[in-house]
Amino acid sequence: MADLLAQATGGVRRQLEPIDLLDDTSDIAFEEWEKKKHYRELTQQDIDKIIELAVEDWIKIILLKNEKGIATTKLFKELFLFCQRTGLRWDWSPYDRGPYSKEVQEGLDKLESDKTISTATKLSRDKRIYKLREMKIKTDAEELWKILPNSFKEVVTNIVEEFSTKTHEEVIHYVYSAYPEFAIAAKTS
Amino acid sequence: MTIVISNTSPLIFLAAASALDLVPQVFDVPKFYITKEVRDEIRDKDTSSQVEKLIADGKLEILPEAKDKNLLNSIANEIALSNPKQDPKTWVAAQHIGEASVILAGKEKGADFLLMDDKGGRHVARTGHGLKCLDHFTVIKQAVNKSIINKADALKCLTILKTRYKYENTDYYEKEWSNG
Repeated sequence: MADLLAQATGGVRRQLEPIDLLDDTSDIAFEEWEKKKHYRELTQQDIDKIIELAVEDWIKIILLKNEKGIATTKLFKELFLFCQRTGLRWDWSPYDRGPYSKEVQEGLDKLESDKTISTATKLSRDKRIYKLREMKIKTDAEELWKILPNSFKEVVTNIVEEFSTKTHEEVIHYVYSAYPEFAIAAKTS
Repeated sequence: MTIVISNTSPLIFLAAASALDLVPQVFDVPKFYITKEVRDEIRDKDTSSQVEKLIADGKLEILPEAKDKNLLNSIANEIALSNPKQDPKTWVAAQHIGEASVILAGKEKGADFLLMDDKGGRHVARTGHGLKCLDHFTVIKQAVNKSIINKADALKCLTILKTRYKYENTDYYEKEWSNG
């Protein structure tokens, strides 16, 4: 077989490095692509239901489903995957720790300044943990959840569940493997 | 329409395991692509005859040769230099023309996936050009996940390929698939 590769590359013997069968980078890329294909099949009726929701509303929904609070990186990545799988068109760009959205950052700042969300600072690389502040705000978020089409609820639930046991590094690995176009400005990949 | 473009070695290894037909099935596409440069690299009779059959069946299409040779060579250089073990005195960018042509075609056609085994090629495609890559073995793994083949057939593929290609951590799949 090595000779066939040598023939294929003009007679120069080339040694391919071994493939690690437990490296999940390719599997993640493939499986996320399949999930994206599945979730893209939304009806116009579904789209009409959610068209009025602002970025801040989506942040509240994600926080509602992450009751114990969520760190900055994970929150951005969950919202990013949500956009990818549902086709919501927010402005995401590659940044040094993966996809970044100015709209999401502004939404978070707004929710923090009007005291909808609370933040706690951790002594870790993720630094901040976001959480919905009061019961009344949680009730408002529950109302938003109720109007969501089932297909959107399924996307949110799946993403939160998939990421619930993942570490900071695993979350970044997942997003970079599935969306390498957002890894081009990465400090690590 | 999903676009998948393959480099040379996935064709060689999947053909050796009689698994070339899995590519369109796994991606659920009527056909996939190779570049003219990749076609020119296939000299082995067995791979070549299987490739010709796929072309005749309309399951494989050949994309035209890259027009921008400077860009092609520049990507081939990137791949050659991406391997930290590579001795700069001996690296031969020409060895990576196949991968470079696939990356270039992938960018031009907006490919969903590239099939590529070379680690340097995959690294350059992913981090330099934002393209998704799968190695040949992932096609077999996903064929099992999608129930296109059963675990016993996948294990046969692994057994054949193991004698010809170097893998790490085969134990997991040998155990997992021998229970199927």
